[in-house]
Amino acid sequence: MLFNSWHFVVFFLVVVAIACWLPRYGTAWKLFIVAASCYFYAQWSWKYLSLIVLIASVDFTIARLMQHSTRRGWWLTLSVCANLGVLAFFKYANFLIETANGVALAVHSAWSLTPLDIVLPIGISFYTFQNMSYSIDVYRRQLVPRTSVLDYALFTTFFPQLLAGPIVRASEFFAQLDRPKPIEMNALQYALVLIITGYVKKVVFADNLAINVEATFASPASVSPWAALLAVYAFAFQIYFDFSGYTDIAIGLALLFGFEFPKNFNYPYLATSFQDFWRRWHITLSRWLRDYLYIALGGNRKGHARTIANLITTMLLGGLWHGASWNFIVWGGLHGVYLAAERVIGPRVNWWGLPAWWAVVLRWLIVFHLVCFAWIFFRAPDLATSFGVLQKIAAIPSTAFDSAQHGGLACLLVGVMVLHMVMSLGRIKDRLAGAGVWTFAAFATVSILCMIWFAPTKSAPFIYFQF
Amino acid sequence: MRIVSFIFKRLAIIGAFLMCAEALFRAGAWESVAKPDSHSGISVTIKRAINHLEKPVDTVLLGSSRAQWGMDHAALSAAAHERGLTHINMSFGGTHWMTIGVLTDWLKRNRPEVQGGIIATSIAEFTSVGNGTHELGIVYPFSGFDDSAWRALHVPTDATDPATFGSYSALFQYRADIRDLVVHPLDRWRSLWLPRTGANWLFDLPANPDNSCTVPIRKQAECSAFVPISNAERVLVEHCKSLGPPPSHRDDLAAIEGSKSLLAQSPEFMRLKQVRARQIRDIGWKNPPLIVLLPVHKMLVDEFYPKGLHAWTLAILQPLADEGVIQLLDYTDLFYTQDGTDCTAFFDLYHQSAEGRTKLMNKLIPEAQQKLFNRIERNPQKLTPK
Repeated sequence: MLFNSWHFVVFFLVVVAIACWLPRYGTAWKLFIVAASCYFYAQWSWKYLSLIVLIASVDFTIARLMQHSTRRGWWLTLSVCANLGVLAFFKYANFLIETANGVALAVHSAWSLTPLDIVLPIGISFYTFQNMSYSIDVYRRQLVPRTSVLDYALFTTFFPQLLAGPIVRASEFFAQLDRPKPIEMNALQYALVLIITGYVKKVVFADNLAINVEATFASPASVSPWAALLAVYAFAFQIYFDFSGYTDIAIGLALLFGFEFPKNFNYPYLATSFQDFWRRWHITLSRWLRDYLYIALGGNRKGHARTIANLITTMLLGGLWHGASWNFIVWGGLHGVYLAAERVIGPRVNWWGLPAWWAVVLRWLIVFHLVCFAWIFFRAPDLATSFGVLQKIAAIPSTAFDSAQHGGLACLLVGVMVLHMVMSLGRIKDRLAGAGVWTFAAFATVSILCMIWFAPTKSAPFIYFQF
Repeated sequence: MRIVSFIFKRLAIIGAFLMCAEALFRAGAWESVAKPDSHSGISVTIKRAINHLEKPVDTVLLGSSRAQWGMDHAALSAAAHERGLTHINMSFGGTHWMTIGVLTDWLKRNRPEVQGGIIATSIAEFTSVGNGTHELGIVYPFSGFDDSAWRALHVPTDATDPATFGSYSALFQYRADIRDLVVHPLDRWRSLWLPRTGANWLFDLPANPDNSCTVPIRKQAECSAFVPISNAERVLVEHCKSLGPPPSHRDDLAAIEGSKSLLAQSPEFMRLKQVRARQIRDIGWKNPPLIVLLPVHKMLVDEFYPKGLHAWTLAILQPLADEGVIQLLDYTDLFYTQDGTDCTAFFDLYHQSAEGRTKLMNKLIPEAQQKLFNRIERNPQKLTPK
């Protein structure tokens, strides 16, 4: 059941209506939401619902056992192994087999393994990381393990964030469950604003940009150099609108149930440094990687060289988290190198004595274009396609810009960037949250009309569902 | 409860705003900005031209692009004029029976003086109930507020195709037009200031001087394999290619018609037969409509259309003709030859060339005079104010 399907809209309206009638956060309410969440996931697969139940049971039990144990480290290791084991089996087994087969072929060995016939459970990367963070927080004594299975089931299966985040920490979730705040009307309106803007981002922007991107990345050889370049920028915005749209809907839905989830995006293409970018892009994953991986590796406490190595390792693993392919490893590696380079040479660059404002613009341009460059590897199905796109782009100096063919998309992309800036600087969502009922209704009506008029015939699934 | 009322209050206001937008679109608010050469734009142009016509309309021609190119509208108007009648052309590319239904209703409401007309169709228009979502664009400017059921009968709603929601909502109907405006705003701005040629459309349209003789079209395979040189050849070869290879299985409509039990097993065809017969009976012109089955290309009949389509079409129309509900002229095989189809009569797979048009009109005009124009009484020359 996709957020952008009629099935989901009906499901959501029914669930909200019933949940409002039940005493908030009472046992009946929790049972109902867990049941609804299980139904939501089971629409994709009943079979893999049992995998969520299994992982949740393991982490819940281990956390309880860990609490008074003298072998806390052992229990944590068991929990991490269980989560990463499941993730590795479903996500990376075939990648490892294919890599091993490739190596065997390269050395002319007849040895080979048959790839496994497995389907990647939707949302597995998100719910395993969320469960792991619970065990680690209990291990670090930052969290008291829950005694209620129902509470833990709610945390694990809560449908707004089950499939693609945001990755909510157990401490954030349970604090709100234990001490519910009264739901304010402004927060409710903010929730509706988020849900509507999320759908607009997905249906109006991401799905339309996807048509252009798909054509280029399916066959880079058949498009013009300028079309290839524009498709790269288009993908940068497609993935932003797609994922941040999903996140807006998820956060908005959670707010309707009284949960305030952390922000996942903060206008990432306005970043003026790579560190800034990762504080604005997929924020909940960034902080997960920072708190549970980068800091665990030693962070910046063990010297300059180790800091650089930790950064690159963290980003490589972050890339691999997205998917089992060399493309994601290259993408993560590029971001690791960007961050490392920024740390090494950033403080020494004086920007040729440019005025501060110009230096900011220049930094913004460099960061934006290098991020877009990395997206080529993220989007392409394999390395050969990535290099095919790069080869095309390299031919731009010898190709004239055909404004009749590419002018429309170029204008659209500039417009989208301007919109990105206006939304950020104008704090539009915050203003709409506090707006009167008529202003809000006018905004919602215009948004719905835009969806009616600009939704492409075929809607694409959310990109991050595949991770 | 507070939350529910908070949300539903907003939903109610949004719903009211959307209904206002729907009402505005249904009332024609978008018509002035519609792309002039789109399906809707052409309909708007013709509608306005008819509304501006000060003399009463006695007879009309309804039909698709086959009629648009296959008929000499000036000759028909002249033939009507000999009897002191005003005859207008209301044929549009893409028209199927849904459009004909909407147009006859629109004429009843807006031009009640119309006494008869020609419905130029072909056996191809009896293969299915509807003809796709593009037809919604043609009918919207002519639709009444209560035409939704008629549109939905021909374009059923498909949850995966938003264009089909246009059967019920005008907001969805203008999707393509609005998208085009956003993508090409300057082109639209310029096109809106060009003069609209609605009056020409009503009384005269040019013929196509090209013909299909340079391209082999006895079979789809040889036509699509042909390497075109001229633009006309390119269009024709594209038509052939767009058909794809001939289907391996084709329904046998003659067999269905011959067997009552088979017909009952084919609800789609049974529905088609009933809907069409009822629609034709409901046209309500004083003079029985003259239904003309236009010539079709033999390659389509041999390779693509359901088997027995001609007999099936006649099985629907002939009983109505026998009853006197319609008058029928069947020119389906007018251009068949021993080798297939007379290539001088077509400029592509569907439409007549100038030569074909002349040959067709030589047959049709005497029949039209006898069966239509001679039977119509001239309307008073001033329109009764509405």
